[in-house]
Amino acid sequence: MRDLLEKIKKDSEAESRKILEEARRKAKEIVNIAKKEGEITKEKYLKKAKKEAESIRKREITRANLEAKKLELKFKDEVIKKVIEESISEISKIRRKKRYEEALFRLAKEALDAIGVKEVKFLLNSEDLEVFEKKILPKLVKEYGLKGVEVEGVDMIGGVNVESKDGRFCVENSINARVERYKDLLRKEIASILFEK
Amino acid sequence: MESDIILEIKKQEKLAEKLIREAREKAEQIILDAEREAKRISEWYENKIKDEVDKIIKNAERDARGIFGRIVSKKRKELEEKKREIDKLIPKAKNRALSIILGEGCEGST
Repeated sequence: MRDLLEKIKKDSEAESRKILEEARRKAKEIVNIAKKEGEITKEKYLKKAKKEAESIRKREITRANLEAKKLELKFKDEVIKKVIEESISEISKIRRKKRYEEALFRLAKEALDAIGVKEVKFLLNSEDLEVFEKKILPKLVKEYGLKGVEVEGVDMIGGVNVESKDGRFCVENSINARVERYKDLLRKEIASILFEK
Repeated sequence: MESDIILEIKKQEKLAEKLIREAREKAEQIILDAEREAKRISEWYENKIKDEVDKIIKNAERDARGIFGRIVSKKRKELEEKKREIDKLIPKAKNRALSIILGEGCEGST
């Protein structure tokens, strides 16, 4: 009888211990899993964040290089524009010189070659009228057999525009027209002198 | 006599049941505590991850701003130097431009 009671007591204590040991083992496992999952998640997110950080840096380098390129293009563009503007301003300084007189003759000839009529009107800067009429026009009349020529001073920087007297044709060889016409060539040539080594 | 024995056994069995029941309750509590601890650990990791990720991204953004500033200011400096270099070439460029405008070059006709 005592043995039986003792057995019941011992069995229940053993069962109780087993239950608690199992619970403690399970509890430890739950905590360990949480830690392990935490570490895995941390590694995953840190890896992702490092990748994102690298991508931010790369993006910013690309943006900076683009900005640098933009600055360079703007710089070149401004320099080229300035050179063209100053070249145009130069016209007023050389207006009384042989170089400009020859240019005016050449530009008028180009315009006459292009228009292909003999009854024409020349449009020039008023300051160019005197030299044109005295020195250039007689040569042109002779060379092209021009008839009933008219010359008019207009608001332009320089160069010459030629109109057929019937108003059907007009060839613009003014400084502004030439700058517009040759803008690509001007930019290319100026860039080649200034920026190519 | 016999009934006393049975009673004693029943008493012991009840005690055994109580002990096991208490053990089960305690086990349940241990599991609940562990689950609570696991939750706390998860939250801790969540906050830690958030902090570290924020730190990494903020550092990257700060570095990136620095990189941007360095590249752009290097280019500005380079252009300043270039400007000084090309100042000497401006007269030549102006003359070439004037030459084109005045039709002295070999550019086409009107």
